[in-house]
Amino acid sequence: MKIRPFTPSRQPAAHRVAVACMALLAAAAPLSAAAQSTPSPEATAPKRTPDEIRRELYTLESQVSLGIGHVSDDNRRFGQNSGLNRAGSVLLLDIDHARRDDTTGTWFKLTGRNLGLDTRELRLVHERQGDWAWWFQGSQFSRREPLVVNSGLQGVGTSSQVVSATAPRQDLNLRVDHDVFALGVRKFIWGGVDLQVSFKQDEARGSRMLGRGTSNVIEFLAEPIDRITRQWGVTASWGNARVQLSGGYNGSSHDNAIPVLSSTGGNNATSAFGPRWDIALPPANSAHQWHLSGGLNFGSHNRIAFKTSQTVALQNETFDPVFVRLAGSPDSLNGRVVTTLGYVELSMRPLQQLDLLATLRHEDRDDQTPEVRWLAEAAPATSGSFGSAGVTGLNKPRSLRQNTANLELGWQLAPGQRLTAGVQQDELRRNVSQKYRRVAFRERNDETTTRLEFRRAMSDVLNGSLALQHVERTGSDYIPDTYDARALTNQVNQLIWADRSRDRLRLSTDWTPAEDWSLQLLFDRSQDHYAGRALGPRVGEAETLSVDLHHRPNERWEVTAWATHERLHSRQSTRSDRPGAAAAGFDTVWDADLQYQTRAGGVSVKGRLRSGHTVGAELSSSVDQVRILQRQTGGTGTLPLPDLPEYHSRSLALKLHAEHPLGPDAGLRLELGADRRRSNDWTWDNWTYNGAPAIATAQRTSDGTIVRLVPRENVVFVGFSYRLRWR
Amino acid sequence: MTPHPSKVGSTRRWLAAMAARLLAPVLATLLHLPASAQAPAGSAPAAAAPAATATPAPSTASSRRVTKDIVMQGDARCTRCHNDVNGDEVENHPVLPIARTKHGTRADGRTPTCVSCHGDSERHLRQEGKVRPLPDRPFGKKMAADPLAHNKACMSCHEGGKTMHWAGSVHARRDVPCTDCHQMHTQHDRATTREKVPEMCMSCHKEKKAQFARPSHHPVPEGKMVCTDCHNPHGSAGPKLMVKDSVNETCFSCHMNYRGPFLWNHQPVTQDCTLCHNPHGTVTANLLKARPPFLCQQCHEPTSHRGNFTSINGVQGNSPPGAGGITQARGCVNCHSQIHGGSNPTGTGTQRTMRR
Repeated sequence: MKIRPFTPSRQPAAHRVAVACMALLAAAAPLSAAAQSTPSPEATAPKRTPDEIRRELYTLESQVSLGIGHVSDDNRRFGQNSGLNRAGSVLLLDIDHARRDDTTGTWFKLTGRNLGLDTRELRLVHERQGDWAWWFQGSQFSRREPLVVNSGLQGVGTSSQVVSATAPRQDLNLRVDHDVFALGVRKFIWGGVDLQVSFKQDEARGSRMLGRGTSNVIEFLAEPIDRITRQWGVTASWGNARVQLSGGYNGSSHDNAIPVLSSTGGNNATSAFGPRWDIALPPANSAHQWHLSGGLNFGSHNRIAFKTSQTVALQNETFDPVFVRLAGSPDSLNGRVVTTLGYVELSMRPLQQLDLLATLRHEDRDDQTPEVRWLAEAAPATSGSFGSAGVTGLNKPRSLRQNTANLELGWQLAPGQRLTAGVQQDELRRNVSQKYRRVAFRERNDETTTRLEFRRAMSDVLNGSLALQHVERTGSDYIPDTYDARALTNQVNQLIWADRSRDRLRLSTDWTPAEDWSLQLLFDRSQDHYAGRALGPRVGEAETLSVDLHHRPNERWEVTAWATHERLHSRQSTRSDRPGAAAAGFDTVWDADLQYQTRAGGVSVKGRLRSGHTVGAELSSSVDQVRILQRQTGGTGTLPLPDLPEYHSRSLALKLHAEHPLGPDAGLRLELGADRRRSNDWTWDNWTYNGAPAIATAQRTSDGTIVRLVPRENVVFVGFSYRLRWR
Repeated sequence: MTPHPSKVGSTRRWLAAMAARLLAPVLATLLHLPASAQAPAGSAPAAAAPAATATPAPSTASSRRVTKDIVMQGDARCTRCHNDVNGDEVENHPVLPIARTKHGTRADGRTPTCVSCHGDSERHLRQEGKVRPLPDRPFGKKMAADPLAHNKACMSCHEGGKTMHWAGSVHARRDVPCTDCHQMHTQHDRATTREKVPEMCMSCHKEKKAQFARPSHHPVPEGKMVCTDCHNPHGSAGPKLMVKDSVNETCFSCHMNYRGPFLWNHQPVTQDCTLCHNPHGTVTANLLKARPPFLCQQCHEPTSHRGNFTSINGVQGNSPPGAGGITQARGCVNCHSQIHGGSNPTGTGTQRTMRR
């Protein structure tokens, strides 16, 4: 557990950046000046003989980069995953070391990235090419909560927490730290059998946001993370130009050292949460898989390949003693899911102009977990509300079977012209409990996809393609809610299995007017229509327009520019309460219109000056806008239904770098990054954790937790490093 | 007072030289570098490069001299022109650095020759007209006419293992040449250099670049993940070129805590994580495709509080409708915190609804 108070830096950011830059420039000045007076590497390099060049060709390049970086400000988003979240200086250390013994073909590679940060990665590979290899990899990374959480919650990071309104509040530095290591060996045995064994472990520790809520009371908690996931496997592969086979075993496990989070305090006193609120966190599980795949080439352009596997996933963690179970219920779930996969693909070219691909895929997720009563049975209520005793007290194993058949034909109409037509049939079958359901269910979905694509090379310099796709999804009859036959659940077109019709168009061009210019254009639009029932999703749209420009005026310079506009829109319908059961004025049928728009783009220049300096600059920008409109479309409700305020998230980043050569094998590198982020997302505005209006104000207690999004963030990063290359 | 320019120059040169002399041996010692790193390039010990073998050049009008192989077995027919050794030609795309790659490791008898990949290219060698014809398989921008033949050259050695399902992959079906991603003649192939992979993929998958710039994203822009952690561009038995056999199996390889099976399963979790999450990036926290409750209302029934419309007055709660702000904070998962599956066997309804 690593919980540290969030202590913002005292000095103004601009001041610190200026000081840092001046210090770096002052330090660099002598070296830079010396380098300026140093002739370019080309001019200083002695004329090499062909044999020297030949030897050099075989000698691998290695390099190490060592320096110091400075982050101008504490930040929440810029360094969320990169380890650059605190103002101050950091060590910059990267290494790429590679050696090869050319007489034996034995390689040794050492790669290190960000070794001075808490996101360091180190990888070591030692192999004799075509004979044996072993490798090791270690890495660390942290995921930091971008929101500022100010709370008096006690026991953060532990399994026992106390919600307190009186304890001193502090900014919680919620983060999850990962320590990962992996290793593997490889050996070619028995005439070319490639045997590989690998193991990977990821240990995660820390805390992240959680909450508890019931009966209109919501309070803040922090989920303690202390878990280890492991993956291991053995694979044997063999093949020649005609036949290839691969098979083996993969295992994995997840262990959670904190299976229960118990919380007291807060609204326990109002009886909302009882004397103690115990949350069962994800239990330990494991999976074991056997797999076999292969391929056979026949004829000059024909191939058949397959894969089959069976995975047994288990979850039989004994319930924590804190949970007092229903009499007669077992002490663990005894969960067992067996997933069987079969996949075959056939690719052929029966004619010179005609090629085809046919695939069949079958995946059967058979949930063999026994169905047991865990909660006491009570008579179904008809009020539209759940009974607290839990009438659906049986666990519901979820089995799913998916079959997919795909056929695609390609016809070479003329040189550079190709027409592709395909049809795909998907079938999904779910198991349906015949006991209680609170969501109307569909046992089966069928989806048919037809697509047509035409590609044409209009000239040596212009290529284009146009693709059309139509998808039609239907399914079996809905199986209604058995709990309350009058419930509106029987009127919802659930997104997951609703009847849906989708049309998609994709247009792309690639224009290379000259060897040093290229322009790519992409337009993609799809539209969904849902049908069959009155409520649920109605329409969905997605549109993308993207342009990329690339210019390489000579071997030393490269310019790229790109812009993307993406628009997503969906409309869905629901009802605020059941007719006849709603409080006066609350029966409202309403639509939500969700509109997302992203505009992003950038331009970058990089190149090498005649003096040998390499320089680069990149400017990128991204703007995301969200609009949510709400409209009453029916019902007798009289409450106002306003649109939600539009909000946006913007980012602007400038990155500059320059490398100054200090002879043929060394250089000084200066990096400068300026990152600016803005957001007016109101998700946490004015939000306080406390009781809701349903509980009388006098009885409510507030834990006083405040969560805040930092609306503006400016960060400057300066890095100065010395780079040494060698052969 | 300004120092004399020549004095400044000499002092700075001295400082630079001292810094280099001090740093280089220290780093070299720490890293156990070969002596060549510490010595001038010209005095490097002879590398264990294979002895150059004499190969008669093809008896064509343009090449009657006997040349030596430089890197690959029998490469003299090509490197008599395509080389930077003799200074005969300046290569826009140098071919000889292939010596530093696995293809250029001649101790491994499986490695190819120039002809293995580029074909005999006799017309290219003869150049009977004014313009030299391209090699049989040039692997450049001009190769779009027959990517199948070009990829077949690669697959003749690399079929099987991770490329077992290449023929059925969308990349193969869309005629993407191997060399659109892989660079053969350089020590640092961008397709196998982790930090270069995202930029390479997004040069075609442009919409992903914008999605990864959104506030909630997997740490690809930060270099902690790359596209190939989840996708196998060479094809797979799963959808969307997933490295595992399904979307969920791929997600669970890191997010194994959500694998279950759970006592109280949430149906979409068992079917497909991407029903609720867009793994490339969203504007809603936790990679959610839409913010709650709108995401949840796409499936869940309107009975009770679940169909309530929202406001942002900062007061949470779910009844009566309109007074609640259940789209604020964590939305529905303010209460339903175990939304991926509950594991509490005790006896009230809050467990079944994944509240604890």
